[in-house]
Amino acid sequence: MASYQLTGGWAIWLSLFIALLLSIAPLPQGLMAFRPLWISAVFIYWSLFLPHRSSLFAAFIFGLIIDVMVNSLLGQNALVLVLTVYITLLFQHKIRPQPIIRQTFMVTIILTLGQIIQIWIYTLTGIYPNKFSIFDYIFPIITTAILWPWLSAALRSLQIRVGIN
Amino acid sequence: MTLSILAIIVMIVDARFEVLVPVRHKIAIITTQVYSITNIPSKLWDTAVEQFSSHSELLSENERLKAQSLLLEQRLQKLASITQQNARLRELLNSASLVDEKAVVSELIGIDPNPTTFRYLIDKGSNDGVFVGQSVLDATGVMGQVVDVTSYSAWVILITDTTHSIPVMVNRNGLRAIASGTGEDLLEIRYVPNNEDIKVNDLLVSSGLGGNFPSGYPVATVSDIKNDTGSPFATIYAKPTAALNRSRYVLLIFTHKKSSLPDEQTAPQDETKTSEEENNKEANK
Repeated sequence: MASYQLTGGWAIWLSLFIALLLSIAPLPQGLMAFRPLWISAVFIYWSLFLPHRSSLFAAFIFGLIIDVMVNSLLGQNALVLVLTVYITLLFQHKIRPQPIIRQTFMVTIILTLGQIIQIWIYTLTGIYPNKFSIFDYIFPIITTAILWPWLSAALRSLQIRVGIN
Repeated sequence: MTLSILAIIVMIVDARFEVLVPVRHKIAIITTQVYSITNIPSKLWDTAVEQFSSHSELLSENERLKAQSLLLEQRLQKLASITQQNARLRELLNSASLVDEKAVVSELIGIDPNPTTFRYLIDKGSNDGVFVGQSVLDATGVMGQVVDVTSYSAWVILITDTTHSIPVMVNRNGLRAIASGTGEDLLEIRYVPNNEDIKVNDLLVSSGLGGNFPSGYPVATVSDIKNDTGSPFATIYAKPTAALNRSRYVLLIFTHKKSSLPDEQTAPQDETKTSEEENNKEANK
């Protein structure tokens, strides 16, 4: 952590908490498959634009909480989130200055990697052997990609207004 | 890097051993609250509807409910005598009499966000005596069973989940079959030979075989039968009678066998412990 005063940490946590609520909020059965990857997207935003505030440990803890909430294997979402944040931090210098379209494209690639890890874990543990639809994993990426420009704009305005640094 | 390795280790431990169950339950105490927060909008909507619905609407609803209750009471009167008769006949046949099951009402507070699974979170947990494998009903039929219990909440898997099957029988003639979830709002009836007597609109009730579900509760009505001469079994689909996607309140059934909950709950745990110990001993050898 840097030596100067860090402010607005509560806003980061608030944004993550809202993302958590959105990712479990009840939806009609037909729309469930289209639910965006809110938590990954918010983590990617903070890792991109405030890399010194983002922490792999927070991603790990948050992932464990999600695992308990959605009743998946403990550590599954933790691994996905840790790797998502790690890759974002690794390539943040390349992704950040890009125009929004390219940025969205790169974010999509990171999200796809996360979803591939999810599929791997599900296949390895054999939880869904009968009916496995690849679209259940592709649709969330698409909706998140469509929402990314608005999401990043919203989070940026939050960042400026609250003065998070 | 260390964190991702830690995550992988945690996953392996969670998949193979029971060590992390208490950790999961500790975290679940918090996360259940989060689920309650997501439930606030629908609750607000319900109270708003109650607040703003007009006097006449409430009166008419009251009247309708009164009429319904009258009808149900009339049926209940008949049921009482039939139950008595059934008990007497069973005594004549020297078979065990049917015992009424105790039921506890629980509210649904969350839905598994994963679109490939059908799981609900309910607001009763091990503190209320809920146990894994307990049957869950709504007013019109079997909904599913409890698969995971924490202190103040429990996960219910629905009968339409692809990993779930329930033993059923045709109410009309007692033909036994197995109803498996399809991942849609339908059940597939398996292992029924092509020439068996089963028709569209037949009511399927739980047969009580396997000991998990109490017998005699409606599960589904047959909606589609395809007889394929190439295969030994018919392809049969049935529609669940329970309002799986709409019920907000569910009934948890305590069967007479498992009514002594604390003893029953400790017994399986001890078994698993002893089996683990045995495993450890074997490993040590």
